[in-house]
Amino acid sequence: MSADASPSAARRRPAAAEPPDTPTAPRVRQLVLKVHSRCNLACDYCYVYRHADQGWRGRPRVIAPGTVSRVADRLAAHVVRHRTDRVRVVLHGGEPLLAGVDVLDRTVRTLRAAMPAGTTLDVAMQTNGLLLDEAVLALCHTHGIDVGVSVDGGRTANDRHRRHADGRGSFTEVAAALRLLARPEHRARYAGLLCTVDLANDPVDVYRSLLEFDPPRLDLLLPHGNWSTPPPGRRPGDPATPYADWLIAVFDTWYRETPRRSGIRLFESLIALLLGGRSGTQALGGAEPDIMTIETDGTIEGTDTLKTTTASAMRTGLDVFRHSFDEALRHPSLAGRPSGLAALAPACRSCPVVGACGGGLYAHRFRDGAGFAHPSVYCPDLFRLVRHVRSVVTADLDALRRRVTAPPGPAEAAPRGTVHPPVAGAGRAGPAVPAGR
Amino acid sequence: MTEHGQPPTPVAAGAALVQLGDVPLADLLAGAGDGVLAHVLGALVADSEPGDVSAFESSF
Repeated sequence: MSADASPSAARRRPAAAEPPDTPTAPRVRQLVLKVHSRCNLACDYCYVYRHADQGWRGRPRVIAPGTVSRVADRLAAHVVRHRTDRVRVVLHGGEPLLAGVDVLDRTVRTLRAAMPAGTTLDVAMQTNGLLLDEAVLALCHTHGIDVGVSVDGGRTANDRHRRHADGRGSFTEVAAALRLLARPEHRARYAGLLCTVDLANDPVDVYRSLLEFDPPRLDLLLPHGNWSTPPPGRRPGDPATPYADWLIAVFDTWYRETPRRSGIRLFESLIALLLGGRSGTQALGGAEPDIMTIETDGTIEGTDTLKTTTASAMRTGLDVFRHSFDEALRHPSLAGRPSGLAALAPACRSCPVVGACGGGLYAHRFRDGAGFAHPSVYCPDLFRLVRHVRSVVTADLDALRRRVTAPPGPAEAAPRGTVHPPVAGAGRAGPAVPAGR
Repeated sequence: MTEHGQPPTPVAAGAALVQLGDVPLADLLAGAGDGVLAHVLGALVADSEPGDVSAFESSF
């Protein structure tokens, strides 16, 4: 940022005039607030430190109180203008717990104090768990902060990438933190686990290892990459589907379990989309870009995943001292970019699974010099995964439908609560329906 | 349902938006058990999650 554009100099400038609000106007529903720009791990796949955008190097380590105040003011003005009754802030980093309990406490108090009556501010935090202790959890209970923890499976799987700068693995520490978080007295604040897929790890072993931490929800993330910088094991244009194979192994295990032990956002979203519902993940369904990121210096950015493309793709040149959130939303890295079908490549628009896939995560469509109007670099994997889930769910729903619509008779004697697949291998109790049906 | 000549099934508010064929999700839910599919059907009937897009996934 130039001296002329510094936050302190810019603070005195009036905000630009904004158009009146409309019911369909883009709005921020989730704000990712970077409270600390450094991390106490050195994961080799981290998009913040290991990908194209190296902007973290020039930013303050800890967000300043004045920056938090300005964020709070901007957010309050935004929710008033859009008459938003609920908005979420995710405390983020780097590693947010490096900021310390006092900074986090002050940050949440400042944000909440600025909210207008009638607007609920949900607060969450995404952490590597290394500093998660009773003091932190006391703060989380005080403010209702939901905690998500990043862990990639058991010791071998997790420590493959999630290591300290000196090479030590982090599993022992994160496992201790998760045992603490899963205790009955803290479980209300346990949001879930975030796991990055690695083809080198056995999928079912990873799933079973994560279940040992009794998470209410799992997020399985595909490693970030694009057509110019492909993900590990994914050769652009290759019809092989290694990531679909991995995910399907988890899906089949998870789907067959009754009662349900944990949610998996990717799969639940996919099922919901196939049934005409909405996605709970930006990775499917062509979700609207309603996530805004604020760096520790007050810089406004779009979704963090764009950091994996090129440095310039994320740079908005905007900050909370000079610009409102509505101004920022018009930038191409936020709601100013195409969304929905208009954002997709022609091949995607005519694809039979586009309603569920939605083109995949926006960042995964990128090609250097050509932008984002491409299928996902994961296109073959997404196609196979969608088809597989559809075949399994369709078979189960057909069985349910027959029960609901069956004429009265002996079938009524069957116990409720169990699906009886009419076709061998079609239901959750049988083997998965072959993909590509 | 049509092939059995039954009248349309009443649908609760919210559930009518998402149906599979002509069978309301609420009816399917009643026999779905307590597995994954039941959970998702229940969420759709209640118009709750999924749909609550998470920013957690933007982070490693």
